[in-house]
Parts: sequence; structure tokens; C-alpha cells
Amino acid sequence: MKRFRKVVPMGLAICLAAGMYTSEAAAAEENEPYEVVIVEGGRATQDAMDAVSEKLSEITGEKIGNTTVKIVTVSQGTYVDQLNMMLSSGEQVDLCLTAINNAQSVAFMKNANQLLPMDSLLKEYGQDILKDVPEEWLKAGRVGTEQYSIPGDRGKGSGIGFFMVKDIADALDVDMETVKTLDDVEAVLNKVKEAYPDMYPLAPDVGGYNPMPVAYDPVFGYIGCIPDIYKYKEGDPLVNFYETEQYKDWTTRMYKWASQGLVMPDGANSTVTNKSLMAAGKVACAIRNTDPDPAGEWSDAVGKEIVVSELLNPTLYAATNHAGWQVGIGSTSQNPERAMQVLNLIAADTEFANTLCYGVEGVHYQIKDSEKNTIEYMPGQDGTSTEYESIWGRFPQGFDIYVPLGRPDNFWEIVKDFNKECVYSPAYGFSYDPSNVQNETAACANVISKYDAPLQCGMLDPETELPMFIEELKAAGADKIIEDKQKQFDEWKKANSN
Amino acid sequence: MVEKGKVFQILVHFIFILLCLSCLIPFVLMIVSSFTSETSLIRDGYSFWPGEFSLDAYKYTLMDTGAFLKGYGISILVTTAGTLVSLIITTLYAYPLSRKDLPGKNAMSFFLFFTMLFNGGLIPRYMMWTQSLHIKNTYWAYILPNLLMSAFYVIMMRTYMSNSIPDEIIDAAKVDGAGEGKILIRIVVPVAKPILATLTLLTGLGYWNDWLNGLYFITNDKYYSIQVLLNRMLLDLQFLMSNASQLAGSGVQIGMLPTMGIKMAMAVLGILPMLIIYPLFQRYFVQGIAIGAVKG
Repeated sequence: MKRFRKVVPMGLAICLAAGMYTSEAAAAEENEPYEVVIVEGGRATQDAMDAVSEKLSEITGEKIGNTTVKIVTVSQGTYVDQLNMMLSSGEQVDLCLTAINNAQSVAFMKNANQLLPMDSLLKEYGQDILKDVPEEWLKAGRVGTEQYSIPGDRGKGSGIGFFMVKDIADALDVDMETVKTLDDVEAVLNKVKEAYPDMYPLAPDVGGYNPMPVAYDPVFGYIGCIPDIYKYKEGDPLVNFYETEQYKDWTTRMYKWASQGLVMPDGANSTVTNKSLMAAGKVACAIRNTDPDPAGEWSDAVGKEIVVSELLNPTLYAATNHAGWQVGIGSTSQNPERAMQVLNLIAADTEFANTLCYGVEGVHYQIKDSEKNTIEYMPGQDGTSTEYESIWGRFPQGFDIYVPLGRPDNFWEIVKDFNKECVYSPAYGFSYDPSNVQNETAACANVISKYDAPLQCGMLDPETELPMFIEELKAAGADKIIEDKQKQFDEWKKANSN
Repeated sequence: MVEKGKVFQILVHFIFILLCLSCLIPFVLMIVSSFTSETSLIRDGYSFWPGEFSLDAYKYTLMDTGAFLKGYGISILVTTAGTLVSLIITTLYAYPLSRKDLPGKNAMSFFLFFTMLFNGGLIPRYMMWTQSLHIKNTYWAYILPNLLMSAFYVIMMRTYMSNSIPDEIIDAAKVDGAGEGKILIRIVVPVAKPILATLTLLTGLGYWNDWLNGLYFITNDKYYSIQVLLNRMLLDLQFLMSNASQLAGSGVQIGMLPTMGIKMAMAVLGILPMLIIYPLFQRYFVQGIAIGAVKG
């Protein structure tokens, strides 16, 4: 099996070399016909994929010549498996999503020979990308000094906010402006508990996700992380997230809250989003990451007005996990030049980007206000029934495409301000390849899934359980991971310092 | 003595009733929750009596999305066709192996056993199916890979046949002038009915429950079978759970997140056909396995 893995990419490389040679010879005169396959994660029916592909092909036929596009939309949940399978079996993949989770970092994909280097292609065919995408963002798609992947245009970071149903906040006279620390939050939760005894004041999200309000950067998997971006000093080592003082404080606080009945019990096993819990009137508040326009997004999803208070200061930070959702050229592309031309067209051509992100006008969306550049779902359709789920934010599509469905008219302005405000993590742009410590990573992931969510939801007493957690992590090889990550991190820093 | 027997009886009954309940209770809970309204499910949790009776979950799965009914149809089609073909192939392999006078029997057996121990691995198999045989996004993708013939079932059937069909019957049939084909159809198949029924059930269950083939070979929503549909929803949910921090600020939406009631309704509808078929086959099921196993 191992040998096989090596042979396939080598064979592919040879094919590729041959492919490049022939296409270069032909490019001088006219493009030979070529179909660019874009593999995407999301939800779309076959009819929608076909319709969008056809519309995109019209544009590429005109702008690039003799080029068609085929969209293959794979369910988000199976995306990584499907893509691995397609790439390792030699199926044609020209453009694909990269860095969509820790196990699929750009460095990992590059080292697994799944991505093609882009530098020379960018220089020749990708001028619009280089013009549009800031250097700060491009860094996140690099391994060493070579570009392998282009980050998408969207809100680049996150804050952590305290969300509350507005009716309840008003009834209890809570001024969200004054809720800034966890002590303030605790006071609010206590008020809620008193006034609404049949509600849970606070609930975590699906699977017990309950982020602590600290600007931490997990740096691909929490073991070996930057505990607080705002306090980071040059030369600080990467540490185990679960050994930090702040994690202990946070879990101790959650345990206290849980014992006082301020948190939904058994939160780590929850399969319901806290938005649906709020919608059902079961929960009053949540702590969750904030996007651009968090109040609007939550109010839409919950169906009640929601108010938000940011808990961090400065409000927004961009960590390595916010650099994901990029697009790269698959190693099984028969014609990387053409793939890059299409990628560049996403940046250069608004109509092309609009079609790719939102579908075909008049079929999947309609213009709401052409002045304001806004669109809406077709009559009778909504986010769950649409045949083509919008996929903006993963491509260098620019901020001049339509405003995403259901977002405020000035959404792109909000995003731009949002990005300006972000404090970048010192590790932003670093991409970790865990393949040296695969066993340890898997072992640690098991330990983490056993302890982390229950601790963060107040189900376990950190006094007794946290030391056991840390010990089990050590036994699972956490130190080896940190060492390996630190080494790659230092190398990356060195390569990027000049 | 009688007293002792009675105590033992009661104890055994008690244990088995407990076991039955532990199987039945989650099942009842599932059915009841599928008839409970969504808000009451989230607010009060699962209960044995619907807090607020509602058919919304079924309305949603059956009316709003044709995908579900279609998936149902595809699953039925694939299960029927696959089981039929699989049984024919299995019988045609197992019967000759059960005959003592088959030339080259060892080679044929080895050919069978070999597949139980060795296979090409995931990626080579994927390459073969998609690039040589082109079954991606076709109904064949559900029928051919993995499930069509199981070496284990062939051995089960062979054992059954060599045990319960005496050579004398076959000799007698030959004397009466029956050819090999006639012997198979008129004598062997009727005698092997219990094992055939057992394998029908096992293979059918395998086809009905299969989602792995769909995961690898189906990307076109027109070909989603019911299990693939259900599995896809679960995987999307898992993805959301494990990547929550990644998704902040990314504009990534997860569609099709089933709400609790809908999940239960789909599960109920997903197992319904098996529930109906199982009692019909159960008689043979016990007979087939017991005879195949004990007389070995």
C-alpha cells in the first residue's frame, strides 16, 4: 500500500509533465478543448450542477476559449473522504477546496502530493488574483515559499460574543453594552434563572461547543497552540491548550455554573444547535464565535430578535483556523494552466463569480435590487429548499459580487471593516502537516473527545478530571506533537522572516 | 423439584423480558418521538407519550421532498434486483462445490477462500470500479461492489447442501433421467429452501442497509437511496460538530440538517420494510442457520 502511494503520484507527475508539454505547444495557436472540473463542498442537485456548469462554460468559452467547466458538489460531511479518493485514484480534479479542516491543511495536502505548486502559473495567468488578494491572506496558502492554495474572500477572523434573546434582555433590563466580562455574564445568567425557571440560561452548541472568550489560536488542533494572541511575545513556545491556566479557569467556571443550574445539563451530547434551542424557547443565552453581522445572522436563524455583546478586547482576531476554506489546483489536473485561468476568472469576472457562488439567475436566485447589488431566493424557495446552496467565501471572488442571501445590504462593507479590525495571530498563514505524528494525533484526538466537551460544558469537575485529562494526553504523545509542531513552526517563521 | 423448576422458569423469563425491553424501549421511543412536535421535543426531550402530537415530521419527509420517496424506490429496486442476482450466483457456486464428484473442486474452493482473506484495498478497488467499469453515479454502484457475492454465504450454502441432500437422491434422479439442470431446479433448490430463505434475508438486509457504496460512488442526488440520504445527513451533522470553530466567519452553510423529529421519522420509514419482511422469514431463518451449523 505504501509503495503504491508513492508510485501513483510519480506516475501522475509523469502524465502531468507530458500534459504540460503538449498544452504548451498548442497554446501558441488556439486552446485545445478542455473541461475544468471544480470539486466543491455543499449541497446541490444534479440539475443545478448541470445548469450552473453550463452557464459557467458559456462564460469560459467566451473569455478563455474552448474551455468548459464542470461543477461536482460533494456533501460537506463526506467531502474530505471523497476528495482523497478522487485524487488518489487519479480522477480528474482541477480546482478543489483545501484546508477545510485540521486534517486537511494545505501543508498536509501538499506533502501528500494532492496539490500542484502555483507560483509560475500565478505569474502567467493569475494576475487578477495577485491584484485582489492581499499578501497577508495569500500567506495562508503557502507551504515554504511556494503558493499551493488561494484563500477565499470573506470575513477573515472572529470574535467571541454573548448572544441573548432580545425580549428576555429587555424584560430583565439587561444593557448588553455593559456585559463585557464573564462576571457580567454570570450576573445576567443568574437573573435569567430567577425570572425564567423553566428555561436554561445558557447552552452550548452541537456537540458541546462552548468557546471560551479568549483570543486563542489552536494552531491545528489545540495541542501546541498559542493561548492568547493578544499577549503573545516573540519567541513564546507553543503550549498544550488544556494545560493552560485559562482553560482551568474556564472549566472551573463552567462547572460552577452547571452546579448552579445556569447551563444546560448534558450539553456535550447535544445534537441540537443552540440557535434551535433558542427558537424553541428553551434557552435564553449562548456564547459563540461572532461573524460579520452576528446579530442579523442569529436573528434570521432563530426567528426572534437577538442581541450580541462582544466579550473580547480588541474584539476581533484571526487565527490559523480562520485561514481555511481555500481553493487549490488538484494534482490530477490534466491542464493546470487552464485551471489557473478559470481560477483567475473567478477573481476577474463578476458574472462568473456570481454564477459560481449563487447559481443561475432566474433559476436559483433573482435580483432584489440591482442598485444595491442584492438578491433573494426565488418565490417559494428558502435556504433549505434551494437546489443550489450558495458557496461564497471560498474563492478569490472579490467583494463586488451580490450580497449573500439574507444578509444586510451593506454586508460587504461590514466584512471589509471586520477584516481591517482583525488582529492577526502570529501563526496566521502557518500550515501544519501532522503526518509525522499521525498515531499520536489520533490518540490525542480520542482523549480530547472524551474530556474536552464535558469539561467545557461543566459536566466534569476540573479539580479531579483535568489532571487525569492532561496525564492521558501526555501518555498519548502530546509532547511529541508539540515538539513536531514547534519545529515546523520555527522553520516556517524563518522562511517568512526575510 | 417442581418448585426449583418454577423459580428457574421465572428467573429466565425475567431475564428475557428485560432483554426484550432493552431492545424494544429505544424502538418505541423512536416511533413516539417521530410523532411529537419539534418544539416539544427540544423543550421536554424524548418521552413515551407525545407531549404534543404532530405529523409534521412525516409531512416534511414525505411531501416536501420527493427525494425521500425516490430514495425509497431506489432502495427497493436495488434490494430486489441485488438479492435475486446474488442468490442465483451463490446457488450456482455453492451447489457444484457441495457435490463430491466435481472435478477441480479444490481449485474452485481456493478461488473462493482467497477472496475472504485478501483484497486489493480501498483505492485500487475504487479505481477499478470507477475507471475500468464506470459504475460511478449509476444503479450498478449499489448492486455490484462488495455485496453481490459473499464467500461466507457460499460456504454456508455449500455446507447446508452437502449435509441435507444425500447423494442417493441425486443418483436416483439421474437414474430417472434428469439432467444436471433439472436436478438443480427440481430437487436441490426445493430441499435447500430454508438456507435460501435465510440468505435472502441476510443479503436483502445487507443491500437495504448499505450506505458505503453510495458514499463512495454516488454524487448525483438523483441516485440517492434512502440509506445514503440518511447517512449524508448524519455526516453533515458530524462535520458541523467537529468543525464548529473552523466555520466561524466563513459563510459556510450546512443545509439539510435534520431536526430531531425528522431524523426519527426517517429512521422509522427506513426500517419499515425490514420490519414487515422479517417475521415472514423468521421461521426459515432459525431452521436454516441451525441445520447449517449443527450438522457441519
